[in-house]
Amino acid sequence: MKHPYVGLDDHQFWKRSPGIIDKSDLDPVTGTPFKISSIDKIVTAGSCFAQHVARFMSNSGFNHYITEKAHPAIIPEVSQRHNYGMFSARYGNIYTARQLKQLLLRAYGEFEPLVAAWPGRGAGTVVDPFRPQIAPGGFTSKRELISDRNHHFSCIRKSIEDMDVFVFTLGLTEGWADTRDGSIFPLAPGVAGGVYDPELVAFSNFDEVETYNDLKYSLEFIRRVNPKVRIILTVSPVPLNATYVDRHVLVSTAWSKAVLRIAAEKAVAYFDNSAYFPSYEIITSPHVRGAYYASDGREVLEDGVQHVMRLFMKHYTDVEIHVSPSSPAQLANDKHTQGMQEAVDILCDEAAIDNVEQQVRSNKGCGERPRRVIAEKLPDRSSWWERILGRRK
Amino acid sequence: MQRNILVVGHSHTECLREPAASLAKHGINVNILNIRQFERPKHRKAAVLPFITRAVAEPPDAVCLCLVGNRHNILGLIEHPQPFSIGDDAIGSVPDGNSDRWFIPYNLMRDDFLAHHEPARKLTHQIYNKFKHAKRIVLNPPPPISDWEHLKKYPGVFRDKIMLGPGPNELRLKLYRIQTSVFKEIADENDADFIDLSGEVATEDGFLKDCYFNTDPTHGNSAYGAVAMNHILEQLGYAL
Repeated sequence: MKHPYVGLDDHQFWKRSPGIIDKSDLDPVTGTPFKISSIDKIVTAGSCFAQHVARFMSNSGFNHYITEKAHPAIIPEVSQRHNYGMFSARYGNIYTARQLKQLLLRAYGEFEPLVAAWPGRGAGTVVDPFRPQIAPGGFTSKRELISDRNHHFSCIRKSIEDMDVFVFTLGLTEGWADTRDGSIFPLAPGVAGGVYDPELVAFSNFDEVETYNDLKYSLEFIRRVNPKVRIILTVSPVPLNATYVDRHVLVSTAWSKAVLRIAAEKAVAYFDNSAYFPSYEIITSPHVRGAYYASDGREVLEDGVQHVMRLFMKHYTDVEIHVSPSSPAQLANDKHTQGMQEAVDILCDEAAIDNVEQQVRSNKGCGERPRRVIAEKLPDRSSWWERILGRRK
Repeated sequence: MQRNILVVGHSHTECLREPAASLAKHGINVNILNIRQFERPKHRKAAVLPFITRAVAEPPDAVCLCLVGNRHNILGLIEHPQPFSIGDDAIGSVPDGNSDRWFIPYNLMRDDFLAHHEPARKLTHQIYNKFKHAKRIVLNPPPPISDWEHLKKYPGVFRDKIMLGPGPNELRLKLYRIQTSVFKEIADENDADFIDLSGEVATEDGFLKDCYFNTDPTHGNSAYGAVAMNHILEQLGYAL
C-alpha cells in the first residue's frame, strides 16, 4: 500500500535506529550544512553544558579561539580557577538568549546597565553583577572591576569580529531582571554577591517568542559585525538546578527546554549557514536510558559528552581530530617568568654555596673583614649590632 | 642558660649568619638551615623535613622561618616582556584607558602567590608541628631593591635580562605587599609572630635602603641580618 512514509530514510523511523540496541550507535545528526576545519576560529558560549563543549574544543585539535587570556606569568591552574580559557572570553555561563543579547549590546557600548557592581562576600570587595562568579574573591574595588570589564568587552569584540564559527548552547529561560532598566542577571542577587531587594529585581521566565526574538536579535547583531560566521546552536541537556516558578523543577525543566528547542529550530530555519546540533537529544534520549547522567540525575557524565562530541566531529569535520578527555584548557607557559625563576634558583643556590665557602674562610681566620664593612654601613649606630661589635672590641 | 634558636628558610636566611655567629658567647645558639644547602636539584622534590630533623641536635626554644620569598622579584625585578599592572588606584596601579600594560586583577595575582607558596605553607606547618614546644616566628623577606644601578653593577644571573629594564616601582611594591600578605596569612594560621622590618629597613618609598643591599639584586646583607636578628631576639624576649 502506498503512503507518504514509504521510501523515507531509516533515520526517520524510530525502530530502525541502531541506537536502540547499542546506545553508542545512536546518531541523530543529519544534513550538516558546512564543515569545520582545524584552523577555523571557534567561539563558544552558553550555559553549563557549553563548558563541556568548550573544553572539548580546546583539547581535541580544534581552534577554540580564546581572546581573553590570563597574563602568561599567572600559573595555569590559577588562571583556570579564575575562569580564563573556559570560554573565548571571560563571560562565564550565558544562560538565556536575553543575556546573550545584553552582552553584545554592552560589549559594543549600546547599552549600559544602571548597576555596575554588587557588594561581594569579602569585606570591601565587589562582584560583577553580570558574571558574579567569574573572579573568586571578587574585585578589590568598583574601579578595578570596570578596568577588568572594559578589557573583557574588548576581548568579546575581538572574538565576535574574528570568529569563523559560533557555537551557542541555550540553557535556561528563567532569569532575574533589574526593574529599573530591564538588565538581566545570570544569578539572582544574593546568590553569589549582591543584595536581594524585591523592589529592584523581578523574576522573568522568557517564553518561546521572547527567547526566539532575543536569539534572532543576537545572531543578526553578530552577522552584521561578522557576516560570514557559521552558527551552530545547541540546547543544554542539563536540567534546571532550581525553578522560581511554583511547580516541580522537572516540569519547569521540560517547559524551559521546549522553549529553547523551539527558539533554536526557528533560528536555524531563519539564518542561512546555521545548524542545530542535537546535544540535548543525545543525552536525554530513551536510547541511552539515562546512562549519561550522574547519580544526581542532572550532571552529564564524561561518556555522554564524549558521545556528543564524537558525533560532532564525525559530522562537522573532515580531518582526523584526536578526542581527549575534557580537561580544562592548558594555557601557554611563560618563558620569561620561568627564566626568572631559574635565575633566582641559581642565585639562591649560589648564596647558599657562597656561605659555605665563607664559613670555611671564616674558620681560617678570614671572618673579620665583612663585619667591619657591616659596621660602616649600619645607619643606626645605637643598634644592637653596634653593641655586639663594641663588645667584640 | 643556653637558648637555641632554629632558623629555617632559603637564601634570605644567609644574611643572619654573621649576627647569629656573634650570639654564641651570649648563650644563644642560632642554628641556621638554608634548605638550599640540602635541597639540591636531585632532592628538590623530596621531603625536606627529614633533612631538617637530622640537622637539629637540640630541641629549639624558638623556630624562625624565612622560606622562599623571591616571587615578587621573579615577577617584578625585571620588566616582563608583556608588561602588566595590578590592583586599583588605592592599592596599586590600575591602568588608565590609554595604558598598554596588561591589567591583572589583584585577587588573581594574590591567588597566584598563594599557589606558588603552597609548598612553603605546608612546610611551615610541618616544621612547627615537628617542634611543637618552640616559640614561632615568621620573618618576612626584605623589601625590593629599587636601585637599577645596583642591579647593573651586580647583574649576576640576570645579565641576559637587564636589557628589558626594571619593572615599575609601583608594581614592584605591589608585588612585595601581596607576598607579604601571604606570609602574614601563613604566620597567622600557625600562631606565629610575624616580623616585617619594612618600617625600619625601607626608604619612605618602601624599598630597601642601600645600606642593606647585598651584592646581588634581591638579598639583604649582614647589616640587614643584624636588624632582623635584633627583632627576633626582641620578639623572644632574649636580652644580651
